Amino acid sequence: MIDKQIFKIEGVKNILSWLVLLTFLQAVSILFQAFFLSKSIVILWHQSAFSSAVPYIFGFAISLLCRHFFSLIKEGSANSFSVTASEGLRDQLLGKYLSFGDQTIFKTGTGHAVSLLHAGIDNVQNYFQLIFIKIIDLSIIPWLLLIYMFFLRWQEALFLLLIFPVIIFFFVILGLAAQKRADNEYRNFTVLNNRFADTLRGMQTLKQLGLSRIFTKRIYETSERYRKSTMRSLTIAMTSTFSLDFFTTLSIAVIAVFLGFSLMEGKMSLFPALTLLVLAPEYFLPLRTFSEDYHATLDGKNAFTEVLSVINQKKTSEISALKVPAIDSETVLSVHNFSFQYPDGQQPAALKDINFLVRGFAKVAVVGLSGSGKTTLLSSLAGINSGRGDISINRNKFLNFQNTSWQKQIIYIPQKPYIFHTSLRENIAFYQPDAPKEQVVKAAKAAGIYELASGLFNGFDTMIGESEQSLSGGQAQRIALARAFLASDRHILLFDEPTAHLDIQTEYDLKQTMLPLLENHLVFFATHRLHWLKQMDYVLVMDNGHIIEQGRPRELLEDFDGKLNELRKELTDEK
Amino acid sequence: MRNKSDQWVRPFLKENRIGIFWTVLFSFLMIFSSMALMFTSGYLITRAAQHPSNIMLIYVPIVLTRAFGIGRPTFKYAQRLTSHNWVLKIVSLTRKKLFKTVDANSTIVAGSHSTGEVISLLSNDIDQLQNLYLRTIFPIASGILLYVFVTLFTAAFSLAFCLFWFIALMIIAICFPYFSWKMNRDRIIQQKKLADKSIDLATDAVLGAFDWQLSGQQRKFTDRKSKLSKQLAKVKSGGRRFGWVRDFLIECLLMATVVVTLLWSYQQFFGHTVGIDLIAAFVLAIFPMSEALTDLNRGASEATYYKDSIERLNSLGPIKKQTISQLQENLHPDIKIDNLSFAYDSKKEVLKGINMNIPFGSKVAILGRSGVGKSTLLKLITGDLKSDRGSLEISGVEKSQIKNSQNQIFSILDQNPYLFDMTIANNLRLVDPKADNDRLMEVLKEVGLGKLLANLPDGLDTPMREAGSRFSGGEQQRLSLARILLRDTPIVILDEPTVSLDPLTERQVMQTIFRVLKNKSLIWVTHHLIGLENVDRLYFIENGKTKFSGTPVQSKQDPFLKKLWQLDEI
Repeated sequence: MIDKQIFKIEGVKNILSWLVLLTFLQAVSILFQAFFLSKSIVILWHQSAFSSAVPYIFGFAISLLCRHFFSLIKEGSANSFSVTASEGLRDQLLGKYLSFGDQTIFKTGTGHAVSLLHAGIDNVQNYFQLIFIKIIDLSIIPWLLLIYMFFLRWQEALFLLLIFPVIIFFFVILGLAAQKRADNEYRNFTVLNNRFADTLRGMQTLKQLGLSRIFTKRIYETSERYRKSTMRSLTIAMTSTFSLDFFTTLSIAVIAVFLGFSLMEGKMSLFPALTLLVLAPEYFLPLRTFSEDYHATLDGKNAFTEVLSVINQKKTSEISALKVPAIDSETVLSVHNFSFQYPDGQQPAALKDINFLVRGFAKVAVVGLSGSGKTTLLSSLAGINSGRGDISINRNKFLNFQNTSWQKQIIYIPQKPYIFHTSLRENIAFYQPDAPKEQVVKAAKAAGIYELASGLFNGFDTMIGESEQSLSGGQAQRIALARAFLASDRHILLFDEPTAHLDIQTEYDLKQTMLPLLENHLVFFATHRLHWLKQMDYVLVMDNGHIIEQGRPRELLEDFDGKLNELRKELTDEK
Repeated sequence: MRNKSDQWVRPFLKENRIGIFWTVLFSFLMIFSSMALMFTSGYLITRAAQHPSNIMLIYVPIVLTRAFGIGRPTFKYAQRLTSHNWVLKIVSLTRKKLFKTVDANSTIVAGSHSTGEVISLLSNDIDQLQNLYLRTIFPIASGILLYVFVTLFTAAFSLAFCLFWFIALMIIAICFPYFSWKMNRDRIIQQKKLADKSIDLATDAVLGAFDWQLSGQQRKFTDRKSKLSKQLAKVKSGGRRFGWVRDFLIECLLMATVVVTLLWSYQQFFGHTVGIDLIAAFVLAIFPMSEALTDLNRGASEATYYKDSIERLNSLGPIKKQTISQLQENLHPDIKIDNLSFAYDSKKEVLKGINMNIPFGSKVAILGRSGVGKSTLLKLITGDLKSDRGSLEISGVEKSQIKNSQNQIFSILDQNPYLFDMTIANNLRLVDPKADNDRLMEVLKEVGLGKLLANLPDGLDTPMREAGSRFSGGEQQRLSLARILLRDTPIVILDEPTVSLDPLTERQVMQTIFRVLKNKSLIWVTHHLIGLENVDRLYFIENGKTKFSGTPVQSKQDPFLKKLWQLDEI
């Protein structure tokens, strides 16, 4: 129910003691409310003058106001605590996501990571809001009321005390039974849910196959089966709340009947009886609200545990702060025996014994079939993957490319560059947020998106990205190129099949755009479009995580039996 | 929601009113029982305190007290079950309607948003509506019923007392909810807007994590995100605080009713031996009302949450009527397109004077940049769209019948053909339920999957798993091709089927396609030149016009296309 980690949050002790104090005052108000109300009723019932009841009625009104006022303050204080605490967690989680771009954080899927940051933290906030108040209420209010009730008449108070564990017992037992039943139904749910999702995702295909009527029927049937299955499990699941409700209300009825008999027999007077009757529902109230919010708190608790597990996750690799010299036309980069293995250790090593040496602003093509390791090599060079080897840059030694000062020199352009949900201008100026407008325009012109920008509703200030103005693959590539044009202080370009999914005309046009950018840069260019080789100084031919051949493109192509020629034949269908 | 032309909430409420009746009745009976429990027990003990000579005098209240004690939880249980059942039933019906509507309005050629995506979005809206019923409509309805009941009940005693309750409850059950709804409207809209923005930023954080790392500006981004989150939290806290203050005011008003009820009942029953016992009964019965009244208010203030879901659903419009017309057997249609133009809106023409001739059995390729109108052209050919400028004829089919019989004329293979989470055999039998195993094997061999199938221990009964994920991209395309062979339509449209395949697989899949579909017309939309040697004619479209049309050999001489062909050489 309560996660111990919660007590490590800053300020939790203050809020707890504050809530305990308020709850105590609230319980006292409840007592006074019952006392004054019963007193007033008894006076009026005796048909004494109304004026003699007025002070008590006044007392009732004041204590009722106090009681709800304390509740208001409690919710307010819990709210400020839960907001501060959960926003703190949100910042920490975000920091973790951004801290080093380690993709293992997202192993449960990026969609899940986004929802954890958003809905997950909201659940945590809700959990913080509920949990303290509910638990403190439950541990103070009933017992304070009970003590007073013992003074009024011990028999009924004893009954209320004894029934309490019985109620909890049945609630738990039935809850467990319902849980078991729900687990059985859960498998059913998953099957039906998947079936529903399956049909949804296949809609376009079903439409194309002329099966629309069948799938409408299928959806309805699945949905109805889902309903029946849900109802079966709800019928059971709700019995535990039913039992709680049943025992609490019945207890109140039983108390009323007990009191009635005792009064008839003259064993007690009206005032204590009435007070007991007024207090009985109040005695059970915290338990009832607790059970009603039980599921909400459970969701929140799970989210809290998950958030903490991500925040406390150990880094699989460390970004090094060793200074890498700035790359210029004289730089010598040598990579010796570099290997990389995915952290789960299940797949075979993704890169094995990579060796190459490049000088200055070389243009290096990385070619190979799909799955040969081109992308893995590129992402290792970018420092997304860690890996290990002997790397030297002008005699400075490094283990891998996860290095801040290396990364600050890189521009990495993948197949599908990510476009941020912000204005076109900010997207272009991503690496140079302070760049003046003229330079942004210049970069946009160089990358060939100036026409796009001027055609947009708000020009460079138009919002782009997922839900906004939609962009084609070629336009996204051009924005990434504009970023590169603008960031003239970054001299390493990493391209991962930048034109793979583009139409041929866009590929042709983009090539013209990219060629000037390649000058004065150290370029690594992964591609299976071999026409790029004409513009490259050096080529690494990859297969199965190894470099199987390397050298100058022209020389390698002259070797008729060489690996590059073999690849060329495979790709161009030349028999 | 308050819109008269609403097609997605009102009709369902109207058609399924019996379920609503029970749900609302049960939830009213639940509140009634808890009030009656306090009423009878209050009466019981004050009556007993008068030491009546005969126990029978308090026997009825004793029985009633127990009965209401059992009644409350029972009605609550019944109410929860009926309401959930009703809501889930409505979800099924709404989904059915959604599918029918989207199906009738969608096209067989995939647009920029796939039909599946559109439906998923709207399905979420339908799920949202569950809460509209459970948290808003039902509490309001049963709260109003309580209002009517209390007014009528008090009228039985005195008109003045009735008038007092009428006004008091009017404030709590009508005015308060109305103002809550009104005052929260802007806040909820703002909250939703901020929440969307915050999801956008969260997506930027996760999908752009590596870009941030390279840029070295994580700090700036974190600040922006945390500023937004704080703003959102502030708006949300504002909403909560509003709710608490409102609930506090409701309690204050209820306190006032308790005081007035004390005063009234004292005057009413003064000197009345039995009547005086009703003081406690009346007063105690007031307290259980607060739960129902706060629920009603909360429901009203949340009403705005569902506004955009309902609007989105309503924007779908009514279901278009569809009829299916039967075509002649063994149709061998030629397609003739003459000077065809098309514009989505009057300002911008997408296609300008397209000419094409596709005799039956010929293979044509359509090339062009993305967004140049290739999909529009396909939609015109398949009848998804209509144009009144220029002509498009499919021999053997009436022009007006193209849309209705599109599934008998065309098969489409696009970049994401979907394989369902069933066995291989069932996936294929979707299109031809009569095909026996031999026929299925024959087709699978034809598309080059004979070897793969022979190696599967379960053969045709091998499950595909989610989205066909058991098989590679190339294998999935081949399986979809098998489905197309089984459908046996005269024209097959290939809408960039190999976009997500690697070049080697792409080449192999295209070879198979041309081999097995040699007796059909092929319209192949492609974005590059691989495999184009196989077509009879290729059309290059630019700015809505045909920039080039001719045989592949002719295209290699064309000065513009020559440049592109060179990209494939080395």
